[in-house]
Amino acid sequence: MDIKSIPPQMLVPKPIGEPVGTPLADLSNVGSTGDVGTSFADALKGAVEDANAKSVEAEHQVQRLVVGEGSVHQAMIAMQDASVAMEMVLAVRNKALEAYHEIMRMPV
Amino acid sequence: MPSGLTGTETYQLLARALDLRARAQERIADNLANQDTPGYKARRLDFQDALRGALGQEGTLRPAATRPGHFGATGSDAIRHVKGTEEVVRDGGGPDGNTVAPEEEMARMAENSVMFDAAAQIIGAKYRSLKYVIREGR
Amino acid sequence: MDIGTLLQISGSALGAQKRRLEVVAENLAGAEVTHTADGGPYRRKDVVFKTFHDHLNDARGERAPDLVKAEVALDPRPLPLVHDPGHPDADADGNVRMPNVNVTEEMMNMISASRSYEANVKAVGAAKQMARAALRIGE
Repeated sequence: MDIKSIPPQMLVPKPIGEPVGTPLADLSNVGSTGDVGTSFADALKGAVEDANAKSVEAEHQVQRLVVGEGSVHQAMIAMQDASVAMEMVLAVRNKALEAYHEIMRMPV
Repeated sequence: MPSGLTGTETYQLLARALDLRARAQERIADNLANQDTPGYKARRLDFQDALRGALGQEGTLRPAATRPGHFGATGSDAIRHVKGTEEVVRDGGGPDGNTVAPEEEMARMAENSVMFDAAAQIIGAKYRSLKYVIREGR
Repeated sequence: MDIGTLLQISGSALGAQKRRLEVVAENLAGAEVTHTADGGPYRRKDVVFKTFHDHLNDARGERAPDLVKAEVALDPRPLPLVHDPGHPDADADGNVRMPNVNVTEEMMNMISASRSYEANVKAVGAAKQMARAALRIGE
């Protein structure tokens, strides 16, 4: 890891008792070297947006099915898509949480 | 519509195949229902070639589009828009002008419903395995 | 393009073919009837199939499916005059006006109607199978 990629505030020694890491929401600054790669926060945000969009679409397809407009397979596919997207959100969140705890456990 | 993890060509292909096979089944049902209707012309939906044409290699998408908003000739987008061609059978009819051949329609129906079933099973299995991998991947 | 539409199409065909079979039965029953309640011999009924559209489907934005219905009309063909002096309805010349029913024709109609009926029953089965397969996607 390039030392330049570590934000300056992490290199400055902090008094004991203060957390070294930054809140999860602010992790978007960590590791960002311009447009290379995404952080956990970005990934989580993207996953949530995707899950949201897909769940809206799934609802739409189910409504279409019920009023006799759509088809069973379209509704099922939309529901599975939404389900996969939701699983992704959970997986990313879990990984992010794991990584955060990992960092927090690091001896300073 | 599938996108991201499930936006790959295979998912799109299976989803579109299901749409097209459902539409083809409607034509077959129309034909079988009207096999004794005087003057009725049988209708066929063909889409295998169109699907094959739209199937390209993801990543080597060669857009034939020259304007934004048009989709490429191959790949997921193209697959999504495959409509297939509907053909009207005008010749070979009986004295009353009806061109439905019931045995042919029955054969098409058997193939169509099996292929629909297959596509449904495969896409279902893909979703289940994808969810498993997401959940269990540590 | 889903099971509802498929069942509507095949359902209309089953109804039409069933009507056709009923008319065959009526014709066969009346094949020898020279004196009906309205007087005169039995007149053959003919079934003509017509395609029709249910315009409730138009809202879906897709082409309406071709449904079918059976229309019953009197067969316009002339009633044959048969020479049978012993017949209770024979006229002065010993001729009887018979129904214009041809039993062979009716039997062929019956076989054709049964075959068409069976084909549409299979279509209903295929539709149900497809719906079941589609539902399993969500399992």
